[in-house]
Amino acid sequence: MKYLKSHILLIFALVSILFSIESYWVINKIVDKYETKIVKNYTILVVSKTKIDKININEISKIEQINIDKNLQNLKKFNNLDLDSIKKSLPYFYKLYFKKFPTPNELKQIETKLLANPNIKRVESFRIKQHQIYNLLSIIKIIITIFMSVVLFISTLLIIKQLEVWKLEHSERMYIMELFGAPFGLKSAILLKIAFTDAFISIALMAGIIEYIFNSSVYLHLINQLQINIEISFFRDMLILSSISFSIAIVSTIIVILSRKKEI
Amino acid sequence: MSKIVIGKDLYLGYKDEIIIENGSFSINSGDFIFLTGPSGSGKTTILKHLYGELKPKKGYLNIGGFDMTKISHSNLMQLRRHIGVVFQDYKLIKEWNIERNVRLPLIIAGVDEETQQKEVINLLSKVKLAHKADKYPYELSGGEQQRTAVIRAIINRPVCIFADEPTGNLDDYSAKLVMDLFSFANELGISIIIATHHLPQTFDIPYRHIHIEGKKIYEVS
Repeated sequence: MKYLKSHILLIFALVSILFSIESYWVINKIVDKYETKIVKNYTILVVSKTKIDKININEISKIEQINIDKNLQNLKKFNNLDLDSIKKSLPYFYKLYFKKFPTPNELKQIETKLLANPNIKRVESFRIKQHQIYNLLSIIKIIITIFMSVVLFISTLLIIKQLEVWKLEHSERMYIMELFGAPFGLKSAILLKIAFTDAFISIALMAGIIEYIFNSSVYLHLINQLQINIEISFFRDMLILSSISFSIAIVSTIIVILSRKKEI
Repeated sequence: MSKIVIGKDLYLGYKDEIIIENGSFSINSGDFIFLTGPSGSGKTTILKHLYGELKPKKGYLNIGGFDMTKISHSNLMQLRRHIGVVFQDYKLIKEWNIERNVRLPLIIAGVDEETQQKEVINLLSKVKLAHKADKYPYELSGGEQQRTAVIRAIINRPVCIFADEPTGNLDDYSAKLVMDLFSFANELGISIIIATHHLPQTFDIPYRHIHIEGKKIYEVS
C-alpha cells in the first residue's frame, strides 16, 4: 500500500501526459489523412470569357480546363445545330484544385477573389458530404488540443506535488549522504530508481492502452467509415513516449536534488 | 605535527548574524579538542564551517589544503570523504539498517564489498552491536544509535572527526561508551573535535580545550 501510495501520483501524471500526446498525434494524423483524401477530389468550377493559364491565388494548386467536346457531341443528333459556332460562342470551363481543404470562410474568400476578375463570369463551389465530416474532425482536433493542454497543466501540477513529497521523503537521506561526501550519482540513485520505475510502469500501461484502443472495434470501424488508411507505428510512438517519460523522470529527480542543495 | 585546519581572523555566522569575530585557531593531526562555550556561543557554527555547510564571512580557513572560502561543491564532497561527522541527533538514515548505515562512508569511497563487510562486522563487534546489524535505527536505544553514528564516522579512517554535542542526549553510561569510542579513534591517529557544554569530569588522554565566549575564541591552557 505504501509502495502504491508513493508511486501512484507520478504514474498517473505520466500516463495522462503520454495518453494526451498520443491522442493528439492520432487525431491529427486522421484529420490530415482525411483532408489529403478529400482535397484530391474536391474542385470548384470556374466559367471564364477568356482562356486562363494561371490563377494567382495561394490556395489553388492546379487549374484544369474542362473538355466540353464530348457534351457537344451529344448534341449532334439535332441536325440543324451548328456545333462549331456553338463551341465558339461558349465560355471556357475550368476545374480548380486546392492545396489544402478549404474552410467555408476560405472558400468564400476565394470565390470573391475569383469574381474580382472581370473575365470570370461565374464560380460554382459545391458543398459535399465530406465537408461536414471534415468540419467535425477539425472540431475534434481543436478539442483534443485543448484537452492536451489541460491534461499537461494538471499533470505538471501533480508532478510538482510529487516532487514536494519526494523532497520531504528523501532530503534527510541525501543530506546525510552529502555530509560524507556522496557523489551526485550515489545520492540520487534511490530517487532515480523510483522515478525510472514509475516511468517504466507508465510506458507499460501506455503500451497496453495503445494496443487496446487501436485494435478496438470502435476505432477500426471509425477508420473504415472514413475510408482512410492510417498507419500507426507502435514502436516509433512507444520510443518517443518512452523518451518523454524517462526525460520527465530524470528532470524531476534533478529538480529534487538541486532544490535540496539550495537549502543548505 | 602537521596542521590539518588553519583559521585566521575569521568572521563566522549566518546570513545577517556574525557569531564569531576575528577568531583564529588551528587543529593539528592527532589532536583531541574539546570546544566549549555557553548555548548560542557558536560551537555548532564553528563545526558547520569545519565540515563546509557554511562559508566564512571573512578571514582565512584552510582545511586539508582547501580554502573553505572558495571551495567548490565537488571539492567539498572530496574533502568530506576524509572527514567524519557525529551529531547529537545521530543522523542515521532511517530507512537503512545499522549495518548499511555504518557502511555508508565505505560505499562512498568505493571500497569493495568484502572489505566493507569485514570492517563493518569488526567495528560493530567492538561496540557490541554486531547482533543488531540488521536492525533499523528506530529499533535501537539512543546510546546504541550514537555508537553506530560514531563507528560510521570512524570506519573509513578519516583525518578528523567533528562531533556536535555527541553525548547531549545520552545517559552517563552511554556517554562514557561514546567517549571511549572517540578515544579509540584518536589512538588510530584521527583528530577529534568535540563541541560540548562541559568538559568530561574524567578523561584519560591528553586534550586541548578551546573555549568560545562573547564572539571570541580562546585556547585554554
